[in-house]
Amino acid sequence: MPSDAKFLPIFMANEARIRAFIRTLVDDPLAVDDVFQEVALVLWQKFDLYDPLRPFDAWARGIVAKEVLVMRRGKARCPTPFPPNVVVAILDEFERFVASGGMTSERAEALERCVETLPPLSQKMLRLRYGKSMSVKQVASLLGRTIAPTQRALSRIRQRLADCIERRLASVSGGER
Amino acid sequence: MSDQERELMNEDRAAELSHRFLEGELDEALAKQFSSVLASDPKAVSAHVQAAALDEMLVGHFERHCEEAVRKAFHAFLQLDEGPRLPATISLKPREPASRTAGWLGRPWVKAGLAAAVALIATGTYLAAPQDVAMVTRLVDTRLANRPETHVGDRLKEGDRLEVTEGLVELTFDHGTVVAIKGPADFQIVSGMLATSRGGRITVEVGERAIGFTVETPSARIVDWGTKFGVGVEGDDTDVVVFDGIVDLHARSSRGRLEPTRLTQGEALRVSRGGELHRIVSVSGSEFPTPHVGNMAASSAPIIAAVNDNVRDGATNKCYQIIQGGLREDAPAYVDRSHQWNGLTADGLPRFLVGADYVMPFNEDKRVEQLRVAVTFARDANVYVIFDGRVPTPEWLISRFEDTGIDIGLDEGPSLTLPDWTTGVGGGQSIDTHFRVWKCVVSKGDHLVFGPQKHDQPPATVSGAMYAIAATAFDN
Repeated sequence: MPSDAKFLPIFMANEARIRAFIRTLVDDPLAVDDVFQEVALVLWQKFDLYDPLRPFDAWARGIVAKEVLVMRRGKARCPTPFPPNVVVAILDEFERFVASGGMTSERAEALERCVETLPPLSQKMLRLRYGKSMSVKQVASLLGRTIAPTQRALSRIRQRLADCIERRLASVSGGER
Repeated sequence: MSDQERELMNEDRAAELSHRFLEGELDEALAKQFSSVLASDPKAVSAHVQAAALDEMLVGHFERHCEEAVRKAFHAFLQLDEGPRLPATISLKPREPASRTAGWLGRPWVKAGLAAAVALIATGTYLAAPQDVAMVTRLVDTRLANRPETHVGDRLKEGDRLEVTEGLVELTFDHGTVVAIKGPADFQIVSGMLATSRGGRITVEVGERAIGFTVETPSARIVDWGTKFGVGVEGDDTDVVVFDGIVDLHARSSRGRLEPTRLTQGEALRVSRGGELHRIVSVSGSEFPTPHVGNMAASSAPIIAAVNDNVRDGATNKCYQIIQGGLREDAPAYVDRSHQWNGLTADGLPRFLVGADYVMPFNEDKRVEQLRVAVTFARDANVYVIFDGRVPTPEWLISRFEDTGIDIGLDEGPSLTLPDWTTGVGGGQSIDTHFRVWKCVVSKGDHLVFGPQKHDQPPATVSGAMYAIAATAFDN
């Protein structure tokens, strides 16, 4: 099997942790997909330089940060509004976040359980917003509401989910967290 | 309002900016505001990272139904090496608008990635003969043991080795990376993105499109981030000095594992046998070849022989740079900033300073209250301390040096707190701070110890910018 065939499984396994990092830097949700596409090709081209002893997602995020900064210099429309020092600060914090158990499969499982505990309307709002890629404005329009209360409701739901995930993980690990 | 209330209010504001950022609803002014918040508040950075991660996990959760389709596509991809099934040439730029609702297979990168992989497999590119990847772009007094007939303009292939017995060779890779090799040296191109150095000193200036360019040595692997760095190899020791940007240094341990350490601008480390890391306290600018410049070293003998400080090995990777004969208009001032020295007017720097040896210190050392910097002089010399005019003059400076009454300027580039600042070109341009020049005379072999910048000041006063040390030959 050519070595290139090894890329896709490892890339897919780390996709969320790479995409999430791009989201911290890129302020246009549609541009996130564009940047992700460009970065995926760069990662694939450089894959023979990847040291398997090092976490793939950390290597990939390093390249993402650099790519975003290069795009920032080279294009009229920057994918990120952040200067290099902020990009590096976010990268460093992201590595700490991942190292401390952020975005693990346990966390994803906890999220799944927590979503199930939400009232039906909250679940519907999340499905529209994240499953159907609707903007807050579109979600508000579909539900016959104005934007600001919809925005506040989504914020509250996210906060409730974040709290629920932490509680659930703490209870699973015997209250150690 | 109490401090706690103010902190809560700031947190709320940062959270709101983060959410609006993730929704794509920040205008330019708010984005700038958010950027400032993130630059100054680590808690806001942490909250932003967590919010983005939760958003992405929600996307993953609600898009899970697509996974089975991806799995099938992937299995099909893995079986492609059984034989070519697609045309040999496939466009890698299917840049249609991205849409999450199309799911995994609808995402352009999946199409592009699969297409690219299929194209490579189908054409057998991964088995191709060595490719031309670089060109010889400069030779200065060069002798090559294994390629005596090398000329500027010669193409170099993967696998080509350069055994440089003396002089300088400069290569430019096709993606823009420039490597200057100072003989004696043993350098080999493995691919367009990988080279080995078995001995000698090289300076690598990596082009913007070549992030990930890697240099392997017997004891380390150095992976760049789009930067300029020096690598010196002698026996089992590898020295790595970062002149600009960031590199990841992977030291090879005695068990063969690669242990990564990130080095940023102005830092340097020596990797010894077994992967031990040691601080390199100072390097002379002439130790490493300079890309794009024919001169290999300053014409006169060095005046500043060595710099040391009282910061312990292991506590820092900071490395002073001694720039021999290098003080001139727009000369870089600090190893960790892009600030520059300039004269206050278009007339430029005072003549007695032009061409002086000088030390590039760490601007961050302005905060180290117990700092002691020891400098050894190789010749009888006029020694100058260039000291921030905003900061009270410390006793160690007054007692040993005399005030020349002459000021020069610091033209400040971007920093953590002022990321948008830029430098100008030439004397009198974009000067931000006045520095006073102090002077004393020393004899050959003398050691001078310089004290801290910050001296018995209450924390609220301005810390200013770190002082510089320069020296010219004392000929009279």
